[in-house]
Amino acid sequence: MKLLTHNLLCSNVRGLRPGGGFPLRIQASDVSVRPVPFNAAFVARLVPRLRWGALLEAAESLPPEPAPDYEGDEAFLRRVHHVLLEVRGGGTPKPPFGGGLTPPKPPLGGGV
Amino acid sequence: MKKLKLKELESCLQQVDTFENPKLLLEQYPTRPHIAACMLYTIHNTFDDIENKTIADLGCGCGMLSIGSAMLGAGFSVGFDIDADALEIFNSNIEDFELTNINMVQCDVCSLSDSMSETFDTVIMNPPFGTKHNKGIDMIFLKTALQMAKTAVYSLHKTSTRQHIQKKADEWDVKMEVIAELRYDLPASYKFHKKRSLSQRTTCPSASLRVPKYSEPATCFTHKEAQLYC
Repeated sequence: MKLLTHNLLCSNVRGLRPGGGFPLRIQASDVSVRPVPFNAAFVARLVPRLRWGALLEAAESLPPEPAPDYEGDEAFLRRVHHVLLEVRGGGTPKPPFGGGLTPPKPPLGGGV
Repeated sequence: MKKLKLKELESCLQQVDTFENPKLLLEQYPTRPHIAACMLYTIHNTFDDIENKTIADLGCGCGMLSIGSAMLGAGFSVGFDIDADALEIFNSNIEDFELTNINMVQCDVCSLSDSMSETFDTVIMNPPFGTKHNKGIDMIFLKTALQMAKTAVYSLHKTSTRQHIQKKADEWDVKMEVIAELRYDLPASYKFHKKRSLSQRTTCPSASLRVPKYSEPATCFTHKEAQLYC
């Protein structure tokens, strides 16, 4: 799973306090890096919408908060791009405060 | 990015693998390449809701719509589906096409809460139509999609449910417009479909809807594409 997906997702496991399902705890068993074409305009649009705190927990290489003029800062955008889109972690993310994500059950059980 | 023509998009999408053993209870009917291409092309060219946008595909199955949006320059798309087998095919499709800006999440769309509100720009989906066993599931998908989308939701529905959707849209205070009427060219995919005879679903034109989150100048454009098909 890419860190961007991780950042967009909230754990919706019931029983967690409201808003407390995020971020999912990362248990990256195998981290791989795969190059992705860089799209500055897209990354710049993403930055204000990210949960920066959750991203920092996963990636130490980022500054504590985005610089005010991040839109023109290509080096910064490239770093964000790398962290969000190129790094991929295996394993299943876990919600905070223990407990696991139970694999979803098909609502109707099985197939045909 | 090179501009893809409608025909090129459709022929690319013909290479997308779909369900090997579709599961009837999950209403796994693939989105046909022609329908997917027409739908995505319109979303891209008329409404500009794909390029550089984050896109969610609820009930993505083997990923036809996510893959199509990635081809049209989506910034990032995420497919959500409950079925691991379908997602496996989706994954091999992504690898075959060497697409890098797609991820998938296995989950029950019906249990996605409103905590993901407005995380995506656009939701594009072909939800289960909510026949016999899953009555009402199409509306649950639509409601979830509306919570997740920032700009608009594009969804395929049976024409017979249009009035009901209109009613719900008024209730939820969103504007709905019918973009196209498409005819499903569904090859017999389940045993109970007699070959060469049209199943109920095949004869049922389905409507592609755009549900913008906020009202904007009406660009109501309804056109029939049925004749493209038969």
